[in-house]
Amino acid sequence: MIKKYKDFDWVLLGAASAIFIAGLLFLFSAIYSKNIDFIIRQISWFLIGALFFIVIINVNYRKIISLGYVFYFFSIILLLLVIFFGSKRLGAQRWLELGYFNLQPSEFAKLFITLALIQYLTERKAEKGIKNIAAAFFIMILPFVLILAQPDLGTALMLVPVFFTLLYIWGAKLRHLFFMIISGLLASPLAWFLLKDYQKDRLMVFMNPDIDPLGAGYTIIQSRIAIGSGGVFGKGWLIGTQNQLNFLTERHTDFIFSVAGEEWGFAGGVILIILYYVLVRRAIEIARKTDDPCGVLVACGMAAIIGIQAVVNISMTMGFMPVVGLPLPLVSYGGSSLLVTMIALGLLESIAIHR
Amino acid sequence: MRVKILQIFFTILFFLTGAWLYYLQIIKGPFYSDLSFRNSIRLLNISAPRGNIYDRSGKLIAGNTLSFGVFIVPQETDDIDAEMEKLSGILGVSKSLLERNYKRNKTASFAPCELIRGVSKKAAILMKESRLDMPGVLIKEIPFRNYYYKEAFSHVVGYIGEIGPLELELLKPYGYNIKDMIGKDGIERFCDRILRGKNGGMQVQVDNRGREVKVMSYRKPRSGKDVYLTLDTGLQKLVYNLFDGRKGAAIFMDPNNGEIFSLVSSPSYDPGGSLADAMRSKELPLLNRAIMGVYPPGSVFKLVTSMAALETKSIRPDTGFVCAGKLNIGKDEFSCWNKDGHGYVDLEKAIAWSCNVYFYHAGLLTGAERITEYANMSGLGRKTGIELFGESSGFVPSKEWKRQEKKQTWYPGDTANLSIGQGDLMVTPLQIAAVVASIANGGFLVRPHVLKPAGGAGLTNLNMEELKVAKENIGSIRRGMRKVIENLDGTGNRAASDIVSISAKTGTVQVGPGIIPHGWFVGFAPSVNPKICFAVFLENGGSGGDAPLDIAKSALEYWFGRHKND
Repeated sequence: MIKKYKDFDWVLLGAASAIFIAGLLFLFSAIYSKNIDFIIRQISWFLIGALFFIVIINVNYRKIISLGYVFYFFSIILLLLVIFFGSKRLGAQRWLELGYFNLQPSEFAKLFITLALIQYLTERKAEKGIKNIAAAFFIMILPFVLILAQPDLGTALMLVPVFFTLLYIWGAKLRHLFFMIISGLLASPLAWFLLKDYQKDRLMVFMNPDIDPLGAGYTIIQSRIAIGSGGVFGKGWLIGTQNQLNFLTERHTDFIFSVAGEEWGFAGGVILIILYYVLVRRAIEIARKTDDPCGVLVACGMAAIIGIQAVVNISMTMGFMPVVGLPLPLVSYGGSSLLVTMIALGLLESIAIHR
Repeated sequence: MRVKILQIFFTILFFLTGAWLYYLQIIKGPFYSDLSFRNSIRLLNISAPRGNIYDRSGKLIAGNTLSFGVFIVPQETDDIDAEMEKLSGILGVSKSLLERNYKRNKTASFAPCELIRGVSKKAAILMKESRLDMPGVLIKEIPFRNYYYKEAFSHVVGYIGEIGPLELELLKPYGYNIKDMIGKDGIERFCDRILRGKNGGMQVQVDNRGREVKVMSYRKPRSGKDVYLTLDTGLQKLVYNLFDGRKGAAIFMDPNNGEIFSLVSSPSYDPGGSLADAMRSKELPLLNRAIMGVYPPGSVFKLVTSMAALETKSIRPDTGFVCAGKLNIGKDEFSCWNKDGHGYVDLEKAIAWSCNVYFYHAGLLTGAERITEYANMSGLGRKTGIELFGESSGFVPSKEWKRQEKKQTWYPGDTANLSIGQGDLMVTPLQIAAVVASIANGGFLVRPHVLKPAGGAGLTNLNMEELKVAKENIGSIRRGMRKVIENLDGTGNRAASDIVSISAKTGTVQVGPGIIPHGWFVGFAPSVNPKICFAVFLENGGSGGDAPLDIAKSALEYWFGRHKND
């Protein structure tokens, strides 16, 4: 038993736990004097996530990958359910109501599609031609469109870097990757017409938040003021004026880093960034230590899912990237995201243990 | 290898994120701190209660009463249009008025915007009760300037209004701010810096919707100081009412120190009401005729002519002339108002009868220069220096002036006209009151004033200038003025009163053929040791011995009836 866990990555778990606990503090401040329910739910989701985590580390990750297509099929069904029965919030149809909990299938889809891609790529490890890349592309594009239709631009866009990371690690020829990137860039003006108006606004506002200071630009301006005014050590827990006086919107979900930045300052913010970096770094470490190509793909895929989300989310609250609705892993309020991140962590530990 | 590159890629990505955080929080930290502070901190002005204005005996003339105002916070309302509709129903005012005020007063979406003020208590309570249905609607108590006697005091007290852009530019160094209420005229304007006090302020922390979270700091407003006037409320009200809307002005003043008991200009306006109507009116109610209106003094000027003639020894009190109803000077014929002539006239009779021919003779003997000189000495042609804005200087013509400005020669006829107060000579009623005061007090030019000095006593002689005139000459004129009333054929005989002895001079100014003349009635009472002097002027009011006399007599009888025991 003990031998079995000798390769368990405690640093990875430690960093993740530290982020989650700090996240609870941020969340408590963000919903301070409002509904304590959020904390209870977040902890409930954490316990469910812990259960999954424990189960997964005890299962060989290869078994899970071999079920990739099943997960894929399952996530397509969920996404279709959202389209027909989903509940609308903030102008987007993203959630399935399941009694006490709401499920955000796009979060699960993000993970499951990655698993399906890994299964496909692992099965085709001998032939790395354009045909396989095209097939992988089609595996991704169907759920991508379904997620985009909700609309959930952030999650949909998250699939793109994960997709490329997997192809790159898998060993796709660089010219094939460049070809895809270039044709993607050329096609992007067309995508403009597919964007919803509010998404166009957000992009315009990213370029210049002052064009609409009370509308779409408000969130980003206030968020930047909050973080900037945090200074070196922050204004202190529970006493950030931008946060407590309601200037920040969506601060318990996508913009929770604004709360962290305002109340904990550069000191707190940079520690959080370092913790994420440690997490990603350990994930890549796990990839480097394993000989199994499938394990490498899973580890790098999970590193990309967590790392890119963290960077994009933090950058967006600082006005460094356009606002796309993406949660901060382990910190933003939201069960689906938390659960998915913990499953990803479980997979990483499973690779560490079962190499 | 590729895994290694992925690791480097993430290292760079996280490093950039950290670097951007450093830029935002450390380099731009102070900038965003300031923005964050301004985001949540509002400076609110707390207006200081304006000082009261009292009359000479401490009766309140202008003060503050609380009134209710209805405000709306734009960002807290869901449907402004529907709420205005509702408010219009409750308040009984048109919705378009509310909308107009909203457009005019709106500053920021978090700031309460005044929709209407002066709401009745009943409506205010009704609104407070139904406030739950109207988010963003506030009822606030706002100080409201109350002028207790409405039109009667407006030309002395003035009124207040929101500071204008020009005034703001001028007064900014003195601590005036946008939207301040400032005195626009009268004592409200003259004493604005005393009356206004010092506004207080609050630093309030607000949330994102502008709602107060807590008060960070508070500076108490310092109330304005009160101001006491020399006016007597009873007399002021009475005189104003005696004018009954007719155009004119009246001053009642203590001749011994220049304290004005009553200064009326008619028609008047309600300083608490809408001034827009007053501004449009053809009757010019905003014009303070007592100090701004310039008119020919007519026969009233004969008092000055007499002084000049006596002082220059051009005539003696017993010098006599024969009035045949007219006098030929050069080629022109100058008439007396009495076509039949007054016969043999001395100075006292000339004043009593207001004989033009006598003063033509006296004036010609004295000469225009000396008359001009004495007119100037008596304070004509310059401002009296009363504490009110817009005072006119009037005008005293002279030979010099006619030659230089009009390029004309001064003829003896001009001297004759000047002698009886006609021609280019222009005076304000207040100047005439001062001239009369100098006769009443035995030769002192007082500075008329309406402000009571804070100290009170001991300032009697402060604003007086002794004129270089012989007491006996003043005596002669005073005897003449007494006869105006006393003699049965005196021009002011109708003013003879059982209550008080009056000395006076009438004046009737012809303003053109077929137009009712202006009338003057000026003088003092009692005839011995005068306690009050006066000048009453009615524009197109007919002969001075008619309507103006009636006003003066009623006022004096009221005054001395009340002060019998003094």
